[in-house]
This record gives sequence, structure tokens and C-alpha cells, in this order.
Amino acid sequence: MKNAIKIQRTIKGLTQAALAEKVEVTRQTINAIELEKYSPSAVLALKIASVLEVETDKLFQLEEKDWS
Amino acid sequence: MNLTYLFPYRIKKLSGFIFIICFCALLTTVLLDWVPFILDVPMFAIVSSEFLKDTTYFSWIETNIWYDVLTIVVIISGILFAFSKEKIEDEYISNLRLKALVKAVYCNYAILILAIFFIYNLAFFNVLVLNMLSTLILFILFFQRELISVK
Repeated sequence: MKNAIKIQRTIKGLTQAALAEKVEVTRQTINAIELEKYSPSAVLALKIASVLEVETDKLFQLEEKDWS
Repeated sequence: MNLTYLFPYRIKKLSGFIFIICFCALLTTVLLDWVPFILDVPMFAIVSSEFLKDTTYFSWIETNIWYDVLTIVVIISGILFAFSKEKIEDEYISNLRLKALVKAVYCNYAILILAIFFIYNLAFFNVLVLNMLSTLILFILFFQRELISVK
């Protein structure tokens, strides 16, 4: 799953640590999501979208491989 | 893996310390074949089968409990250390914990299968003894490695 968290986070002027604190996870979790090593749960995805003030489907995009 | 029955973070350091000390003591006991004689005590055995003797059931036997006590302490402290929360628990940490647990189980049984093929007789008894702790130890190693790699 692709995501635009880094771009949106930069637009908002937030560091990974700051975003992590707002959504109540560790900085490592935000880093893993941005690097596409980890797919967040629906709740976490909605929290991130809410903090970055972006629609969830603009923040996360499904890829071909997600359907297998 | 959203477990709600992880032990509190505050016991992590103490349980880890006890685990390391007692595991080293257990290895020393096994390798040097040394036990303190003060721990020769009568114990109630549901089943007891001594070498070249008949198997007895529901009886009192005289045995040294040093090895038994150490093993129990290693198991309990290992479980407390392995399954206590991290300082900050979130879904990614839970995911790493599950990955490490699955890897540890796979690894443990792969090693056991190899041992079945290549180790025999009394030496295999030692394999079974180590197998009591190997899954737990492998899980601790894999999980700690995952945590270090994401820092």
C-alpha cells in the first residue's frame, strides 16, 4: 500500500516524532509506515488522516499486490 | 496481535536480570554437573523413574532440587521478560512481537528436526532438555533484534 504521509507531514511542518505523539504511537511506527514496511490498522490510518487534515483515500492508495 | 494480558513494563528490567543470571547458573550446572548438596530433599513424585530401578507412582523420593528450582525460575523470569510491555506499546510493536514469536517457533522445530536426524541416545536427552527453553530464548532474541533494528 502506497502512502503520502511524508509529503503531507512535511506540508504540515510536523516531524515524525510530533506526528507519532499526536496519533499516540512511536516514532518507529510512523517511520515504518512511511517506508511501507508496515500497513497501519484502520483506526491508526484514520487518526493519521485526521491529524494531517487529509482524506484517508488521498493519504493511502491500494496497489496491485495488495489484492493477492 | 492485540493482547491485553502482557505484563507491566516495570518488571522488564528485573525479570531480564534474573533470567540472565539464572540461565547462566543453569548452563554452569549442566556443564559442570554440580549441585549443592544442601538441596537434597524429599519430594512428592507423581511418577518417578530412576536409572535401573522400577518406576514408582505417587511416592516420596529423595532428590536434589537445585536443577528443578533453577529451571522454574528461568522459565518464569523468561516469560515475564519476553511478554512484558515495551515502554511504549502500539500496534507496530505488537506486530513485531507476533513476527518474532512465529519465527521462534519455526526455528525451534527446524533445529529439533535436525537434532532428531543427527543426535542419538543419551545426547538426545540433552536436546529435549534444551528444547524446554529454546522457543522462549529464540523469541527473546528475535524480538529484541527487531526492536533494535527499528530504533
